[in-house]
Amino acid sequence: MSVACLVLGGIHAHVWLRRREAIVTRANLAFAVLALSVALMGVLELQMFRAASVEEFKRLLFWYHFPVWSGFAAVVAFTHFYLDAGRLWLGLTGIGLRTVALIVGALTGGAMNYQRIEALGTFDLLGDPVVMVVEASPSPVLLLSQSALLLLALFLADATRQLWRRGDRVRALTISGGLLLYVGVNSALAIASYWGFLRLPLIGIVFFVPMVFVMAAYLGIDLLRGAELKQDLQESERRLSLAADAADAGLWSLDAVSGRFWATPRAYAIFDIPVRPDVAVDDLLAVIHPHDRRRVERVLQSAREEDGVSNLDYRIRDRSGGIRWVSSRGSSYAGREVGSRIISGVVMDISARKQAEDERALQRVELEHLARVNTLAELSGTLAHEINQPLATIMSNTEAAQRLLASPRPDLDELRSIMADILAADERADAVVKRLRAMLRRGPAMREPLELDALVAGVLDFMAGELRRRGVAPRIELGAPGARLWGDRVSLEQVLINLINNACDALAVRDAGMRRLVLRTRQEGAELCVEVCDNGAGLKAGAEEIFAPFFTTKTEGLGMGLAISRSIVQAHEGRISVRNDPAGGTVFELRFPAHRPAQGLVEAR
Amino acid sequence: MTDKVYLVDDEPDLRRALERLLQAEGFKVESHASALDFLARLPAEADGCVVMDLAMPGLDGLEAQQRLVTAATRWPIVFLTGHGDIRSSVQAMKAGAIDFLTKPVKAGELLAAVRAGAAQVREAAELRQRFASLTPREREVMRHVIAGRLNKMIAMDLGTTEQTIKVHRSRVMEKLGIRSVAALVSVAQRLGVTPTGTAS
Repeated sequence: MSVACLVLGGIHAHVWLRRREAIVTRANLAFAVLALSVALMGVLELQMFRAASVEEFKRLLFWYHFPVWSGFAAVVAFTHFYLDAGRLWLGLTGIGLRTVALIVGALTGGAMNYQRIEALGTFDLLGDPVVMVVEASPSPVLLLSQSALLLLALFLADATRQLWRRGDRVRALTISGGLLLYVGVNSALAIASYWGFLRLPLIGIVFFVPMVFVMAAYLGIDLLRGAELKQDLQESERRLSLAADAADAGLWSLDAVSGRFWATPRAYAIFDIPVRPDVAVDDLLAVIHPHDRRRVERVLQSAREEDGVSNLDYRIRDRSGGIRWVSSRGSSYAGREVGSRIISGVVMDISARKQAEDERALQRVELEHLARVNTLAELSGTLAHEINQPLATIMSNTEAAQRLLASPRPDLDELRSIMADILAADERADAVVKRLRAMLRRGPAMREPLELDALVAGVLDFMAGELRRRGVAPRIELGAPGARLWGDRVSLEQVLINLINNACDALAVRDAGMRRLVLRTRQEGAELCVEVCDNGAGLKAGAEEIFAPFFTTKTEGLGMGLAISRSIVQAHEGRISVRNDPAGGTVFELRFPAHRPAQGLVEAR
Repeated sequence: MTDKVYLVDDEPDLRRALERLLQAEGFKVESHASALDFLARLPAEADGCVVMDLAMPGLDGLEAQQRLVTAATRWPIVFLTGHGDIRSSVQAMKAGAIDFLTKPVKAGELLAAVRAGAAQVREAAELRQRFASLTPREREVMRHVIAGRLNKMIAMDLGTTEQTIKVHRSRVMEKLGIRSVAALVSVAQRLGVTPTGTAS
């Protein structure tokens, strides 16, 4: 029996030695220790059966308690690592008590659980006479070691209960329940024989060996299953790489601790690095465009620190000097090995898509610019007036000043106030010209935090002349003081100008004194809202229809105003909607997410 | 007596600048922000030149001119405009405007126009004074004369002799400082005196 245990113990010690880093093989180690302990117990028990003297028996008994201790610890360890059950503190306290008992027993004469062994006798075991203790006085240490056994029994009972609850009933009954039964029976027999109720030799091995076999069987099944899983895994890996190849995607994985890198040939091709076994993280970072490198490093760093999934688009500079866009989706998780962390992912070359996106963006910029130029053309009369008026003011003021200066005693106060007026008029003209220049500029959107109320008030100021010319009385109700949104000033102004212009057209049906326009802002939770209301003719077309390109009710309109306005609003993650006011007229409503200050720190993409 | 200018423009900055310019030239300026405002306070007699913006909210310059033309006395008007278009300038001039100036307006042009307007006002005032010196009988004879009637017919209508009419007639010409019937017709028009036989 000892030999069988030795062989089994040896096998699992080997398993553990080969894959020492993996957590799962710790159960193999525990089992190996248990099997070796049981084998040793068997050998020592056999020796004790043949002890010639009390002294020899005592010496063997002293050594016997070491494998008993290690077997004890191994049962706790196996239950913990293999079954992942039982309250660990119960088991550890048991081991602690057992250790104290071992040390105290070893220091006080070596008879361990006995204070003194008076006499040895023989016992008839299966026809063979074997030596056993017949007269002895138990030591107080016995109480310690038996409480340890009690704790072990409790620990196993707890583990059994947990497994049962988890639904792992077979293992609950066979392993932890079996262990509990054997520990229980063995302890009961030992207690009985120590206290002299029962006369039995030490035959612990008889109880442990079946348990060792059961445990060995389970571990064996696991090993076989492991091999099967490995095959399944290989198959699923083949399927995965087939799918990845079909999607033209590369697969890669990186061990964040050891720096080991693995990738499919397609991934190597996308990263444009030569296929070598010793690719390091730095080799990968080296191909990433310098502008994107820090961003990628930041994501890698957070993947090293915690589990998570991240998406990242970045540029790669290939060996021919070309730049390609790559989209990567990665996830990080704890590896099989202690303390290891795997980051793995899919990578795709999205250069073509990016290029199409860039072209689309360029087209949108062109279209927006065209619409702005068109709007300005519509406003040209008013704009000329807006610039002309300050010029006329400056000219007349200057000529008035010249005449004042020609008089014998010029009125200096009047001259000062003329100068101030000239300056103010100059600033007015300058503001108009600056705004015109901004609107005529063709370029990509520039995002910045914009105060909504100031934006709306600024546009109304710009349109004041046009509104006056068209006999429209504007009113502004600012209800979002200080609230900001993240956007492009010129584009958003374009939307508002366009809506105000439309309102003016709708108001043409009303008499001159009755044309009213209301601009309203407010904040609703995380949203900023702007309303442009008129008391004009109201909408006859459906809301969807008016936002469609080339829809127009005017004779000289392009029909692009609202379509472009909507695309601008959507590019700001906002919404535009329209409704008829029951009291007459139309209400256009814009909604934008309010800007959170931290948002500014996040780079676009 | 200082000449008076009525300044009508909705742009406060420009209004102030023009006010200063005209004041520096010795005019007495009365400003109005809108044509309606000006018309509401319109004096019975045209006692100054009107400088008016063409494009104003509410009542625009041309509409205001129409109302001024129907008033009892003739107002000399100088129009200012941001962008002069031919149609409105023709309309304005036909309705008797003195000038039609484009902003930014040169001080010289504006002042010349305003002075012409002021001269008209002065002339009209003088004419009114002269007209006021006519006796009721002389005015009646004047209305007959400008209707193109002969002295004989007037004498018959008024129940007097042709000689008496002749005397009245020469007194009218003398008092108004004119020599021909054609000039009398034109003066009568300016004074708002209607010929006999037409509704007055």
